[in-house]
Amino acid sequence: MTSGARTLASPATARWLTLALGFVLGGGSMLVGLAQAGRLAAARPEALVALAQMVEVEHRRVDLLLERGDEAGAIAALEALRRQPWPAREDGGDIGEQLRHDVYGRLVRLRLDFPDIDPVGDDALLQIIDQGLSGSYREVETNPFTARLVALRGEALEGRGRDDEALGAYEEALGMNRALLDRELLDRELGEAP
Amino acid sequence: MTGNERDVRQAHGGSVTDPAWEDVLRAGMESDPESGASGSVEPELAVARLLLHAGAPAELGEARRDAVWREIDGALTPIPWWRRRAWVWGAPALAAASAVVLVVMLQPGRPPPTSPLAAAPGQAIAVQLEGQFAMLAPAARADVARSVDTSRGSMRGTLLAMAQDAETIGGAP
Repeated sequence: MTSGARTLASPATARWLTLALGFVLGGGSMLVGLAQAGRLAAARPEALVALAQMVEVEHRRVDLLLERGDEAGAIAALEALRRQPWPAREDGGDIGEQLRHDVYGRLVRLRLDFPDIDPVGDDALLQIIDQGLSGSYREVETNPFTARLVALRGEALEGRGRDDEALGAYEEALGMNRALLDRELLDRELGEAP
Repeated sequence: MTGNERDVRQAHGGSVTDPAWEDVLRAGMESDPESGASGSVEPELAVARLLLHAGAPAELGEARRDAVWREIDGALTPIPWWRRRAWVWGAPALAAASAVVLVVMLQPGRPPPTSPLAAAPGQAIAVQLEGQFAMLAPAARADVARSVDTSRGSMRGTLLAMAQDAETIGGAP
């Protein structure tokens, strides 16, 4: 009797469970799809994962060096990281580009704040920034790391006395950040909506 | 002319313009009462002084005459504009006011506004952008971490599929 009741109840339960699982998977897929909208996915996920791990470890090392007041060591570590081969955008996707912009941005920030440590010329600094942006940064989904590197380009240009170009870079960075803040506010409103 | 007067003139041989002549004339009148002259010679002397006074312009010295003419020329000739009193006192005041205006306009010690960034200093914009980055970066790092996790899951799935394929192929009779 008990066994027969279990047998009768199982198909209905299984049906509901399948339906619920479908809802969960569908909802999850929709969220992932929305998050990835307009973003180039990594064609080689293993390359992105390896890159992200390496960058994360180096960021933590730089944090420790800066906490100890070793700015020269931090700059050297970021320079070494910068010289590593970076995956192409097709391989690492937009996230790979963001990771590169983050590393370059941190390096350039330190170089601008501590110009006497292992000094490089203004032209060389601009070349580093342009190498980090790689010309196709406008195709990358808007993100704070790219905006910061563009803003730092403005600072470097201003240091060279190229004020008009610097103003253009600042405006571009401000526009990116404005878009990001608008998106953040929209996400919060959608999250708070009943 | 009486004989006494003639004597006086001859005695001194001077002209009536000489002031001592009056004294000699008075002394002669007092010393010769028999000549019939009576009264005073003062009225005559007054006439003589008037004549002398009238003739005084003719006796002006060269230097004095030149000075008089210079005064007349100065009074008649118009003063050039740069020597007028208004300019003498007004020019220094005008120069001082101009200097003050220049100092206020140029403001020495402040860099001249030569660039579009001078109005809105680039340093302030850079600081603002760094502040925005500090605000946005944490959420962006979390987003990157989620994307990397997704890639890690995808990579794990690929590796599992490859392992299952290899197992199937390896276990195939």
